[in-house]
Amino acid sequence: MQLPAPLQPQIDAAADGGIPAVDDAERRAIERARAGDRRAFGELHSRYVRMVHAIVMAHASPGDADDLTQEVFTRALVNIQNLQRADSAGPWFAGIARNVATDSVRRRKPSVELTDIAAARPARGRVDDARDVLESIQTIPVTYRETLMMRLVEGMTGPEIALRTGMTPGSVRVHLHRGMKQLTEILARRGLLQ
Amino acid sequence: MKDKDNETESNHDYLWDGRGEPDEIIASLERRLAPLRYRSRRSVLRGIFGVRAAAVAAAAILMMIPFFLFNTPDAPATAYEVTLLAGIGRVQPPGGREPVLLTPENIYQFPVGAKLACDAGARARVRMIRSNSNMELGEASLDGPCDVDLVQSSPTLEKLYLHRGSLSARVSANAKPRLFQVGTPSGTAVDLGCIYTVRVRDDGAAELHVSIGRVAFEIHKNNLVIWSGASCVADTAGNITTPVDDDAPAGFREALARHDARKDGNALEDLLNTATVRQSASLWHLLQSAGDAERGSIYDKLAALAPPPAGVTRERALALDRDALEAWRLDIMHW
Repeated sequence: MQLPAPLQPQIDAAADGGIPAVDDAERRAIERARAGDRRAFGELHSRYVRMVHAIVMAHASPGDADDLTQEVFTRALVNIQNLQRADSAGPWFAGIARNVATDSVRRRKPSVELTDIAAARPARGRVDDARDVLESIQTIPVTYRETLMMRLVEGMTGPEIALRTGMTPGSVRVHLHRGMKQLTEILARRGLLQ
Repeated sequence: MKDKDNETESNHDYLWDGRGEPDEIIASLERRLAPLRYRSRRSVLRGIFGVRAAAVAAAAILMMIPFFLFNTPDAPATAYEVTLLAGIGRVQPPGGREPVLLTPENIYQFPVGAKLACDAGARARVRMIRSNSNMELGEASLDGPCDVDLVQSSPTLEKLYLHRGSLSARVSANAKPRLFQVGTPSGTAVDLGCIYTVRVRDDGAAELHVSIGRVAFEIHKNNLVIWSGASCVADTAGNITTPVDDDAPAGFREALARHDARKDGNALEDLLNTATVRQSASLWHLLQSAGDAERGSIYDKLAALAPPPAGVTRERALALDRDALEAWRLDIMHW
């Protein structure tokens, strides 16, 4: 996977087992975004959008993931002043993503029949298969689910996940490994292992 | 980690950072999950993940729900379905036929040429679904009192016309930018990928507020781009306020309102003094609506807050060079 050049040194550090650190460019982007600079916010969007998308999809309907991802960044923009520390950007975006996704699930319940009428589509093999696997991922504990979504769906590497989420590389390793083990067992039980 | 749960070295490497020999199961899952990966909003096919059980249930529900079908000469490219959520509403079919009083438990088709009216306190939802693929294009929520017509439905343009009342649109990523439009007596809101609300007042003036994404507001020859968290108002005489963030400082908003009203010669100076980088998008619009004498000072302030990209010179900007201004806009509002 091709990564932006500035990310690589930090990711190497994370791979070595150290705590990944936010780089100066991100620190500056956060400061500028807090001052109201939309371009700087755009930089943060680029850095965190895949993590946010993965978290949203770990909780909510994949059909809503795009809109919810955008809603996360809209809420973040409005509340950017609450982002006090540069090294807490990842957990901060992740927290908003979880709230937005949870709210969406809560809102969706009363009108499930109506919303799903329009969502009901003719069968599409590749998409159906992705949906089946996703449903299986959504049954594993949330701690592992989000990390696994970032790795398997968004193609983020372990070091990159650590950098973005603020988790230690060791924790990410454990989450990936245990999540993968549980997922494999579920897929096997459901006859979905290919 | 390397010794945990008897995983092999290659498995660890591949799961961790994609290096080493690909693990067969992981690589297979990556391929199978690829359709769900984040892509730019417009390249994503969404709305296709209805739960299988829900599809079956939906089919059963559809069979049970009486459809009030209005005969139309040609099947529309998009099916519009109206659901009354609260209060009293009616659909006037095209061709001068009797209006149909809506009841909450039913879903009604809404063909081109039909009119939907909601009384005060009523709420209705209009869903847009591509007929040939069942793909959802979006939905419009209406708050009464309101009157809305479906004026056009084609593969290139879906257009509602809001005479009065409030319409909140959520346009799906399935819809291409500019496909969905809402006409008003004061201008047309053109979706560029977003959630937004248009409210038409009794005097025909239209208020546009964008919640997520961007909307173009086309009024006569003006074409404004309104961004997330911003709003503007247009009247039937073609006057339009400069788009501004809802949370812009009160001093800036007040000075901008005075400037837009052209009633105060000091307004421009006041608003430039109170503008911060967060007001760059408002200043970008102001640059174009300002008179020649004012444009220089607006440019200087905007350039100080959000330096123009390479190639966008002061001369080009002051001459309102279209390409230069668009490049600058994308730089200011690119996300």
